[in-house]
Amino acid sequence: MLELSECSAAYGPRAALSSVSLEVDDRRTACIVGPSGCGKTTLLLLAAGLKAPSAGTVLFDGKRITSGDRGVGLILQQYGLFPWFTVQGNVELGLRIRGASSGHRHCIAAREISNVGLEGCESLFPRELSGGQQQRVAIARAYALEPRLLLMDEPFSALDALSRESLQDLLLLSAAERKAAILLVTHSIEEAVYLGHVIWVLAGSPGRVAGRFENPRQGSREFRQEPEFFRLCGDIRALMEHEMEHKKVK
Amino acid sequence: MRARFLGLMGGLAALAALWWALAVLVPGGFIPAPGAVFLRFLVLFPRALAAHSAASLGRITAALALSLLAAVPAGVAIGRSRVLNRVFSPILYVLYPVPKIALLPILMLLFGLGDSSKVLIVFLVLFFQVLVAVRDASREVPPQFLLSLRSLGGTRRQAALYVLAPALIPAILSCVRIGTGTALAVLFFSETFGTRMGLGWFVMESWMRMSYVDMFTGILCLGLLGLAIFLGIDFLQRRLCRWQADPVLSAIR
Repeated sequence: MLELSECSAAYGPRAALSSVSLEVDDRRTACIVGPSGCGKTTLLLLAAGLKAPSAGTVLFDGKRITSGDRGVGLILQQYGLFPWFTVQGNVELGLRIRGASSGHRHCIAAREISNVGLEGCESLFPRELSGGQQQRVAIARAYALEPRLLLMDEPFSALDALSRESLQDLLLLSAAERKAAILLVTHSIEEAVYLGHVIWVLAGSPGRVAGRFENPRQGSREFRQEPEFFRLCGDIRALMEHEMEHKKVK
Repeated sequence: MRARFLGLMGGLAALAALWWALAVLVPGGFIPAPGAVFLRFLVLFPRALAAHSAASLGRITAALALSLLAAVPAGVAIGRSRVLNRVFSPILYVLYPVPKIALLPILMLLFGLGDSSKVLIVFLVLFFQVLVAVRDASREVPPQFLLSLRSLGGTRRQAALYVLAPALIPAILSCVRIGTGTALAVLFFSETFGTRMGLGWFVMESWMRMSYVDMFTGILCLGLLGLAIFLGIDFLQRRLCRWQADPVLSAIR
């Protein structure tokens, strides 16, 4: 569904990504792990069509991605909510931009807000919500446009353990219901192994793909307690550490 | 609302007490007592002062409206475009510190002694302040807001409407608040030339007549004019910036 082939990206003279190829399959969750500064956020901007690669191509359903493609929802770090709009205003915004009638907007927003369990918070401003609630609003806002791919940047890293786990489950459940795929960037290996069908390890600066791990048993709570879970986490950690060493030697 | 009104009244009462103390303590009778000035205000306001206040308020409102209309779009353009910033910021830095009041003689030669030169001089004062504030604030709009808007399918026009405008309004209001003091001072000075309307003329004329009670009545009126403008800005801030938790405003509330 999403396919990056040999993508490089740069900010002026500073290279951020070097020849990255990866793909996200239909209705699958792909996680990207890597240390800070390896171009994870840049990769999401490429996937959203908000930044043009300096080399390579980004295809969504076989076509070049363009910014604002309705099939792709983006949730940036710190949720990217607009502090001057209420919960309702934030969730409705994508539909408003696309010229939906106010009745239609209301109906969709009510559905999405109740889906993330925030009924009654419609008229609150983001600053009046906890971090977990803000992230729920961001998810509702992205889903209001019914995307088939959701891009998320460190969505749960600022949350306490309990909210993080309940939001991870909410995300997996809602994505499965909507048959949506997810590409999620994180620096937590455990989170990647819990959520991702496929885990991509990014390393270096500029970033490149250092490894790819299949993870068929993602998303199950029991799996989280099993030796296999910890073994996979260990393998990924070893690869990341190896890459760090490699960098030092260089 | 009621607490805000009581706070305002309390503040004015404290100010009157301080004024009264000065009137008693300063020898020579140059400072009239607040009671005398207030009584004079009640007599003069319906007769002449209302018209003078309206003239001053009209000039300052016109200058404010013009400066916002010109400086907000220009500030956004300079703040958001690297090229425009490189060209215009040096020019801005040369023009901004020039005391605009020094240009009053030239403006009066070009635009006459009437209202237009008075409005223009206040406009110039406010224009540069708003321009610099809007330029800086529009540079600091976090990129994640604009990226989020684009990912939702927003156009540039929608970005201006849904991101830039709400993000800039607090900066614009606080800049207008700061600029109001300077604007009133410059207006006062400009009203001492070529007009017989406005609080500046009224105060200077009373001074020439050595009528200190009248002079202080005019000064009181200037203060009330400033108060009206500030309350108006606070009202707008409460209406437009409900999303912000503003400690200053909540204290006034």
